[in-house]
Amino acid sequence: MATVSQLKASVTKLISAVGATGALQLNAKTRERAFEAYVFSLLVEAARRAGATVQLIGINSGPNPTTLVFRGGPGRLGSRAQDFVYASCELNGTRFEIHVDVEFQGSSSAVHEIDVSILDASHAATIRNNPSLLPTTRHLRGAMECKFYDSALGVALGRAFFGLVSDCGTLQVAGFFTNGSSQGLAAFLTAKKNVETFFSVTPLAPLVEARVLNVVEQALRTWARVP
Amino acid sequence: MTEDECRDVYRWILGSLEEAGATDLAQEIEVSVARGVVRAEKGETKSQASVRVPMNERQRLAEALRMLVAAASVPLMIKRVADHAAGDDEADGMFPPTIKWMSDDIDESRLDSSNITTNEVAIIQERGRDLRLEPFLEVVSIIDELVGDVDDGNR
Repeated sequence: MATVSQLKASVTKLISAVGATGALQLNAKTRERAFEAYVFSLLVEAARRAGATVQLIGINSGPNPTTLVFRGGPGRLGSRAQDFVYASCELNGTRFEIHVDVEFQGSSSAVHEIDVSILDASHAATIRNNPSLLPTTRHLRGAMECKFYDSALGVALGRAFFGLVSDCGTLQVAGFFTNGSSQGLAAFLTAKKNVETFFSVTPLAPLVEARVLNVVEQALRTWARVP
Repeated sequence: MTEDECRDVYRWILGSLEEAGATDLAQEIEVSVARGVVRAEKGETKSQASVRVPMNERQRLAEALRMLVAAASVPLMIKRVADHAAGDDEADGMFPPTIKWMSDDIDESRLDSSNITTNEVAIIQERGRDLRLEPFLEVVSIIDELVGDVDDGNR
């Protein structure tokens, strides 16, 4: 067991190392957004590992934007108010896109805010040409709920996400991602066969990252019938 | 570590964060700790647990350390975004790009609707690039010692 002085030395080292980045001054909402972008990047990497060609697109500037603009809150897929970024992917002839913080219309007509989504590229293109429309969950292939560390991760979050998934038709992959943990939530979500649950998702846990990549890669390969 | 030592270190961490300008994070830790933990009563499964009880000193300290590590790991996440976004293009020198967050309904002159500006992210991205994992892993190891492999049990 670490002594008090060892613990203080370790904490001092960490605060000192990170302090210069300004990260400790970020507010909770911004940390949440950073976590969503991180999960987006894991999906992009999983698509690449599945063999997809992936290109990042700025909705206004086109391929390979020098600045990646993520939504600061849920918004419309077709919005050109900012140069919002998305990933355009092609895997074994299947074309799809990965977006962050986009609103969808569910099969019940309810509007759902999906933190990170995978949808058919043709439908996304239709929506970009008709930006006042919401994409429908009929064309949604993946829905990811992202929750930055919170000691109050409760079963209610799992119920809400499961309800959303139930209103989304057939998904190739639905995942609940958090860099925290909760045994109650784990017990609830692991009982749901159509939801993958990923706790402790952080760059500090390479084995968890590897599991995320493997699960998503396999789901994409199965969907696109990659031999 | 005794309960008294845990309490002292907990207060010391909050003070250190405030000194480092992380006042919001220190407050968030206090709020989280004040919420307590959820405990399953007799006959309840973990997913049914609903009764909140106060944290003991060890749990408070572990919670503070967890929240510190989570907040501190944001630069590592942003680095991952840049690296994964770059893909094979990294060799071409086009990427990694700058990252920023913006809302639908603001213009370029109001960049910080999500309370983060392009400059802030650029600094985090640049300075986070050389962050070593060792200081993080040291604290994570201490958290594991504090709470054991079972983690938070009844949360």
